[in-house]
Amino acid sequence: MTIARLFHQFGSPPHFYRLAGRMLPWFATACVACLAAGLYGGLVLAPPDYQQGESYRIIFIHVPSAWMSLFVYMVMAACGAIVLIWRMKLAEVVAQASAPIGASFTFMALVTGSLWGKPMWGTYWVWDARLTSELILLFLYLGVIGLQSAYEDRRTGARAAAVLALVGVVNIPIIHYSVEWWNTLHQGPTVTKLDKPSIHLSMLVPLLLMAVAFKLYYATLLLMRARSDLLERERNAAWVRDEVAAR
Amino acid sequence: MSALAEFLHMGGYAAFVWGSYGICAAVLIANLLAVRARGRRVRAMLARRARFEAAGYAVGDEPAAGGGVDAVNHPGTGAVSEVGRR
Amino acid sequence: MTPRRQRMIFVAVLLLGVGVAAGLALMALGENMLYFFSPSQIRSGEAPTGQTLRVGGLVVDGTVKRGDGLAVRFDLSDGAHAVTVHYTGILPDLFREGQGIVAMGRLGPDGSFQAQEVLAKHDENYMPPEVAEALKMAREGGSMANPHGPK
Repeated sequence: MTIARLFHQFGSPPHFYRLAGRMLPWFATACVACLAAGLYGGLVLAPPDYQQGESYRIIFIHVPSAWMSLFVYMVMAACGAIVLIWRMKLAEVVAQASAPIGASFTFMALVTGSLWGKPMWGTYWVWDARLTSELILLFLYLGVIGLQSAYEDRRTGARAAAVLALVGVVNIPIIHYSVEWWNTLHQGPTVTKLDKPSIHLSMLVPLLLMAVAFKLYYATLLLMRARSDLLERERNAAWVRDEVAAR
Repeated sequence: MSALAEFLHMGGYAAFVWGSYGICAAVLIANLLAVRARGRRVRAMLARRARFEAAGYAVGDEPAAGGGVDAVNHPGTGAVSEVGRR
Repeated sequence: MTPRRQRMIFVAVLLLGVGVAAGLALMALGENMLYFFSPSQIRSGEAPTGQTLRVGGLVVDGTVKRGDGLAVRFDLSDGAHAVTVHYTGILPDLFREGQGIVAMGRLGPDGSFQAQEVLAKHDENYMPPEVAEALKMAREGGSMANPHGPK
């Protein structure tokens, strides 16, 4: 199987370890640069909103966090499928590293949304379809994290968590389309709808910069965590001994 | 009001805006520190094993004493130690 | 069949099964997933009377009447029908004429709505005040279609 061979090459731990080590500083630097530019653009340069005044500036962290909560989940579920079908170690490592980061982003989306909802909507929380499905996403993440460490054998835990992650995929389109399928207090999509985004360019640019910064943050942490997890799992392998000796 | 004070005031929404940014910063930094601490633990464990081995002892598959990274998660893995690889 | 093929089929069946189950569940829930009713639904009797429900719509221009203290009365419309809402309490910052509002409360026998809670629903448009102003001028002048107008 050619797919298996490709996985095998890319997923070979020493190869991945060295590649990740070379990419890390670039990702980290780009992340800090995008974050600085996005924060400056969003908090200082962008004008206040015509309706919401200054309070809308929460959008620059709320929306990227919400996007990331879905994106990281998709990565984790894809790794889950690879874990179940091809039993690939690297996919286990990526799923394990992704879960807490994804849970963090979901938590951030919920908390910032709540702090935005209070002054604008008049409430911290409502049980509408969008907010409820995002809360379910947080519980799915917590369930995956729990299962990953629930078994003495880490590989059994990874497979159990992969099943839950795959089951939870059904929640992703529900979150995305909840604001279109049902009446919700949460408004419809701004940037991802098909016609042109209904947000002024001076606000869209920092929003996208922050989204890129969050993606790079995830990539950076993922590589860091995957590297140390690989070292640990392969501690008896020759390449790890070489790495330790070379230091 | 000075420009800075006005900026910090956020049109009266300071608590909500800065609260959001503060919580997010805290969560992101905590994640970063957790991942870094994990990496340090693994490298310390590997270094200890290397020293141990250099001293002529056998190193099995057991988590190194006093802080094997998965000592909590996988208490069972160390039970069956490999016979030395001298 | 190789074990890998079996596992592939397991994953596919898992995804398919969960997807179908969720689809059926959502279809069964249907109306219950609606967070609020529109004034038209209330007029046509789709909304239950005598129990707590939510109604959402736009505050009609010129209908906001303040009473004693925090009491306020306004009409809520979805373009076709309107419902009069009575409310006593603090309104959210975004409350204003023309604003989208979701009110929670009970429908009175006279068809008016007694609200216990009023929440503002804002739209998905974000722009500087000057741009909003320019768009409004253009709309009133009729010279330019508003790309951000309500759908």
